[in-house]
Amino acid sequence: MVTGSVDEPLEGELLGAAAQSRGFETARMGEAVMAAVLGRSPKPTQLGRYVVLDIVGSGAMGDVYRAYDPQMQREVALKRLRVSGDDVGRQRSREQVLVEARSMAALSHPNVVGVYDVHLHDDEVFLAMELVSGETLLHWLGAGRPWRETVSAFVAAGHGLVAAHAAGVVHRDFKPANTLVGDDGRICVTDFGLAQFFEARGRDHGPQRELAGTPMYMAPEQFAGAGASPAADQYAWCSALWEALAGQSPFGGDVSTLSADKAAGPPVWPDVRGVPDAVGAALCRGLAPDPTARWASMSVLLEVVGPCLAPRRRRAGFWGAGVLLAAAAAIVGGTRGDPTLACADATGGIATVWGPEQRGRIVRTLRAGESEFAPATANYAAARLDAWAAAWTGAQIAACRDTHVVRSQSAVALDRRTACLVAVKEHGAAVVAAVTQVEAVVVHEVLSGLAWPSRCSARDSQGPLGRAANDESLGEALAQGRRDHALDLALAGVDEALQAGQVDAAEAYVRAAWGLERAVEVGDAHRRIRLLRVTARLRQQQGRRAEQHEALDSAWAEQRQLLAADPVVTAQIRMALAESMPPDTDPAHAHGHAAAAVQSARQALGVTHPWVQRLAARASALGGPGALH
Amino acid sequence: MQTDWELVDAWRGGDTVAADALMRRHIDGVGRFFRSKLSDGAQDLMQRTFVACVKRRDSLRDPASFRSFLYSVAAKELAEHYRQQRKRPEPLDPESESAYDADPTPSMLVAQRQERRVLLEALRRIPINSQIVVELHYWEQLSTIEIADVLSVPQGTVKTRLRRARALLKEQIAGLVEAANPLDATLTELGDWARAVREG
Repeated sequence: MVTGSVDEPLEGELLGAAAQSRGFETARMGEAVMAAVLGRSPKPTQLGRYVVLDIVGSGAMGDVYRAYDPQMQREVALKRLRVSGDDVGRQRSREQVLVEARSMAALSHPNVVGVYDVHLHDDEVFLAMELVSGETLLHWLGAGRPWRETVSAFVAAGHGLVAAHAAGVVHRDFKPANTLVGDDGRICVTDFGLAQFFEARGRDHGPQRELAGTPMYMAPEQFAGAGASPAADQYAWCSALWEALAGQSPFGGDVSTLSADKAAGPPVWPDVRGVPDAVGAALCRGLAPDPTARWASMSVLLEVVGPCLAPRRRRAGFWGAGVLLAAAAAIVGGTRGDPTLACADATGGIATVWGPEQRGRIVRTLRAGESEFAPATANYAAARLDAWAAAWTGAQIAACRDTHVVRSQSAVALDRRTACLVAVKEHGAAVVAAVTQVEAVVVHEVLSGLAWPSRCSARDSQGPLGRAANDESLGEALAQGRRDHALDLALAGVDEALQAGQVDAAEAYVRAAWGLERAVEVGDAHRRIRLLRVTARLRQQQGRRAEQHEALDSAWAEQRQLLAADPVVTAQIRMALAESMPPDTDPAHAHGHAAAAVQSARQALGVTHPWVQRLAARASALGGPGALH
Repeated sequence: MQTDWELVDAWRGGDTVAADALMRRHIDGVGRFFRSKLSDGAQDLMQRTFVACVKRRDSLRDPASFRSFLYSVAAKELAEHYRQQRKRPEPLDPESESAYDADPTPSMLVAQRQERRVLLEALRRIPINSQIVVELHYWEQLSTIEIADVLSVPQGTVKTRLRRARALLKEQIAGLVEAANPLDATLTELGDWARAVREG
């Protein structure tokens, strides 16, 4: 029926386009139409074990359905990947797609939309994913956000990328349209690695070019067809954040010159009102054309950008001199490299404590175990230690910068901070060793004892000492002026006293700990949360429920502010909060916290972990529509 | 194998097996017809089209084929849909207005490849009747006589329209690629393709 020459590109494309409507969606819609016309109830379209409920959206990557998983008794999002078409088939076998998609399914992190399962149905590949109700970051940004909100959303998304990189997954197409903002404010990145399934182009003529990703955010090496690395994700993240903050992309809008523009490096940061220059400087480095000139990793970048979110008072100390410094550097005229960069390389040998070797050992040991939840636990442990190591590197860089760059602290103070960081590193090494030696079931407990480097930014003040408990080593620590150490001892004291049922002793330790906490001034949020939690446990034993609830409420308020919050701790706090709700509050609050606690725990350690199951049982005991199974 | 007409008649006699068979034959094409133009509501219109086909069987004056009858019903349902959607009193003019004019939200057909995405978008931006001519010709492989029947125009007009529609389509493609949002464009390849389309 076709007239004229089919060689004409338009006609060829037109003829091919008819195929666009075949596949699962056509079948689903056809079935619905026929059922309606014939007055029969529509056969629920079944996809493997999933029952498709309705279509929730269509995107460049494929249609998304809301479906029910009877086995897990939960609703999921089913994403149909458009990989079955003429383009990819020749290049990449479907088996490969399945293998790679399954590696994505192994990734579990609060800032990543979880992939539960990969399903092959009549030549089409479906991903069963966590159903997130919310909007895209692109849409969210469209409402116009204060810079802090924008940066903190990107930092959260960045943590998702860090987790992926740690698991060996590269996103390849990070952008606001691929990032979701849940109704509960949770930021999560989706479509990990999917871009690679769309890059192969079977062309019969000319050099084959493989392009995946979105040109506006893509790293220059991706244009050149080089394989995407974590550094490319870092580039995309920087490019998207720049656009979100400055209101326009760093590289104009001309597609034809985009590749060349990017190869020439980023323009001068436009000095956006309110945004610290340090953010602009960090983005500039992340947008370096040479991947090796960017930040060492996404986590290092986040540790640089994250502190910029801190309130002005602190930022002034860290960054206030940044502008002057830049001016000074300009005058000196490149006699020596940028000292900021020198500090960025001050990794302090953290890799000897937590590096590929240690990671391999932990993953091997845990996976060797028989238990079903061991792989999830291994991922969880690796993610926690990644976050810890990244925080440590960031703290080390900050200490270096304060001394050598900002010159806001003396060498003596640097020594003190360095000593603190060394102690934290040694403690971390002990935890890493412990993780390989304990049963998988208690790994999360071991990790919750990690000392965080945030404590090392504390400056010893000359304020009043806390009321000391009647403890020798504690007294000794105090006598030596080591309040920081004394606080650790006091906290350990509360734990022991509570376990031994000595409520009075626990009370004395708690009081001492609070006194010390106030004395160390710049608090360590991780430690303060721990202090609030032990306080809550003590108040519970004393039957002082209102105070117990108050302490947990404060703990939760702090925990939710953390950049790399431990999902297990989050779960513990929220469950305790749910169980300690004052009698006159709306039960929905308790149910909400309980359900969130279970979800957080499941995501971290898997459904079959005994502790997670106990947590779910506690949630069920609270009743409510949590529908916890 | 029973003809489409036999199935329609059996359906009218209450034979649901025939109804099922008839719809199964044409559901993909009718689905394409609506999904390429609308961002929402295709399912509802597909349903109306099949129901109307059975109802209007008697009012037919010798159609060229069942399919030309089917798509003329679909085109009428589409016009009715636009009329109801319309806030303004005057109806949408399918000779000058496009599906994009009626609703700028992207259609339900989403392509994976950039070229095809641009093509599908360009189709929505030419007048609706031109879009119908192109799609029935290339996608559903309807003959000139059948297409003339669908749009109630002389056969010669269909050929002229097809030529004009292709020219309009090339213009739209060039325009879309030129104004391409860099967020979506696949750079030079797309430009090469657009040039090839224009010169082809």
